[in-house]
Amino acid sequence: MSTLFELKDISYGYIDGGKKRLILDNLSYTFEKGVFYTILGPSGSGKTTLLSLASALDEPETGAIYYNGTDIKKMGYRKFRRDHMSMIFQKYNLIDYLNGVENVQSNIIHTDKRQKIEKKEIAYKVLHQVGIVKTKADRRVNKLSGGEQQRIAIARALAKDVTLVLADEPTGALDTATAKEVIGIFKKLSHELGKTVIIVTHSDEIAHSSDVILGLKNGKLVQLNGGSDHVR
Amino acid sequence: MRSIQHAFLSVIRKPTKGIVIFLILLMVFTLIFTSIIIQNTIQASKDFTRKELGGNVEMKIDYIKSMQDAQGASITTQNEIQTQLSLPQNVATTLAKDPNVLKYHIENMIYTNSEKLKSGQSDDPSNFTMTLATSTEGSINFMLLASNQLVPLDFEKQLKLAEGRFRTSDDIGKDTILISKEVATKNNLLLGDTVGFKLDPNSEEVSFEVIGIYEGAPSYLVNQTYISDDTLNRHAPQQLENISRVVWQLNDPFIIPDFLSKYENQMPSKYLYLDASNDQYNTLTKPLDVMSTVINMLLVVIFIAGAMITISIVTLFVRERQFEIGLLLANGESKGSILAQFSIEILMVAILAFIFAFAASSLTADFVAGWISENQLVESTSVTQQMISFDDMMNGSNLTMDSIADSFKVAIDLKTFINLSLASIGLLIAAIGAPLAVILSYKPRKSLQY
Repeated sequence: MSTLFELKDISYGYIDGGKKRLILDNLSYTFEKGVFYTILGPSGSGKTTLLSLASALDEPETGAIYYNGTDIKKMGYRKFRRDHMSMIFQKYNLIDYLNGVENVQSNIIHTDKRQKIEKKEIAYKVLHQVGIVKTKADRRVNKLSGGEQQRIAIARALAKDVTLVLADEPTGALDTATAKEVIGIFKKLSHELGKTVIIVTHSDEIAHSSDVILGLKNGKLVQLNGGSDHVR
Repeated sequence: MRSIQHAFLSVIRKPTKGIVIFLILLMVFTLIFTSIIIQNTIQASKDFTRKELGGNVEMKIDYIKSMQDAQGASITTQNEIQTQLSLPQNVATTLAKDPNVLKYHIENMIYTNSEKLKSGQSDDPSNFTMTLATSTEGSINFMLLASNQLVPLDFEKQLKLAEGRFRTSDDIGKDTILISKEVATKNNLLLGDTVGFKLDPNSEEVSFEVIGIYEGAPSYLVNQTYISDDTLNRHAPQQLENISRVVWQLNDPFIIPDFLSKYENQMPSKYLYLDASNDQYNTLTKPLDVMSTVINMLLVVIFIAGAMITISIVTLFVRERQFEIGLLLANGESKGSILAQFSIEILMVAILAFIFAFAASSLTADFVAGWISENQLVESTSVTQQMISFDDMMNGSNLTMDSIADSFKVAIDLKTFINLSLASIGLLIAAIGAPLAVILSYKPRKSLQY
């Protein structure tokens, strides 16, 4: 396997009670192509912060992040977000004046050179994969249930043709059956399509479905299950 | 493309905020447009007044000042003052060289008697109250007005030729005269007849051929006749020094203020001054100026208040959607594209508001103009109107406050439309520029509250 994504000497902290508290402390880790990772950790351990740095929503105080060997700061955070990664948020984060299929389409506009009709077909297809039928896909998202909205948010990320998928508690609002289907999709994405999937979760079920389980301890990532050593 | 599509969908599918912005802009635009349209109407009315009054500048003598200076002064000083109380011909010809002078009029007034001619004035005694020409026993005083122009100044507006013709260059060397219809009727005079007047008490009577009969003079001026300065030059050249009126006709009434400021300091005597229809213009347009000032102040207040309200609404509009902004940033959208989307949304609403406000303000302005015309330009200025009417008769202008009120009609031309568009763009830039520019400072994580 080859390296896709690398966090190198990442530090990030917050001012807490007048003192600086480092939540990520010289964290380094290398993520391989086609591997499904989960990151576990208690609340406040820095999982969400780690994900926001990995998705270039924020900038580390020290250290660098490499994508395919290129520093994403040099590449440009916006370009990285636009062309190379896809993110699923804990909250649904959908655009409320668009319907389901338009929300999915809006995420594949940049990276895909295919025709609009073809993109729409892709959007419907991905939505179907996460259990959203066409009639629901054509509804305004604020008319859908929380679970349905989360499925659309997942479909949104999956439809984008990128090699890195990041997710924060993606199955939190889903029923068990759908959650299983979604986990299956993540597995398929990594194993069949060669994408790297990194999920932050509290769910042991997801963790056990992943290839590598990581834990955040004292501002560093540690591998919790067996397999190759990804920790540096 | 995404910006346009999302902007359109946002406005259509989530219309509440769009409606709020639309209503605010509609109200602000309507008030601003109405003010601008009324301002333009006021300006058009002032232009009308200026045009109607014409571009005449007259050299006048300040007799009141001379009397004040002469009071208690020595005989020598009084004589010196007296010598300064005449209109100099050289000033007339010097100023006539100004490129803005279309032509200039020099007129000499001669009072003369005629024992043969009857007065043109009515026999009704009430019509003699303002008689300027006094009669001596057995004779009637006539006024002969000698002009350097073929068409005397009074015929520019006030008088009209009823029969015959004006002098032409072929009449040089001939003694011709224009008389009033009233004098012609009373004396059974026809075109081609002759009438005799003495141009100087000591000279022989000159026989004039009647070449034109005019009408339109007020009753106290019907004994005024019009002859040529050429006649005066041949029969009584000494009378040419007694200039009664010097008037320059400018090619554009709007340059009067510049013309006055250029030449008013070049008068050879402190008792001479240049007078245009400025006083009359100022008197007539004073109510318009007052309204213009009030409307200007209102316009500034409306603009500032409107801009502040719009800033507040647009700020709320942007803040409320910061989650969406964060999501778009997380997707890799550029801030420019997001800014464009929000700008397009507001622009769509603003264009609608502009169209509706344009229609509404046309009606409102019509109503306001009607009110101004009926209540401000007639009733409140009736005294002024009477004063002006007398002045008009002397100066040949028929302009009254009524005619100004009649001219006070709302007309929206291209210039007005451009002004309204510029005002709208100005308001939008002032009101939405800053709140939307805040988008440029948004960070994806903070916007997502992630």
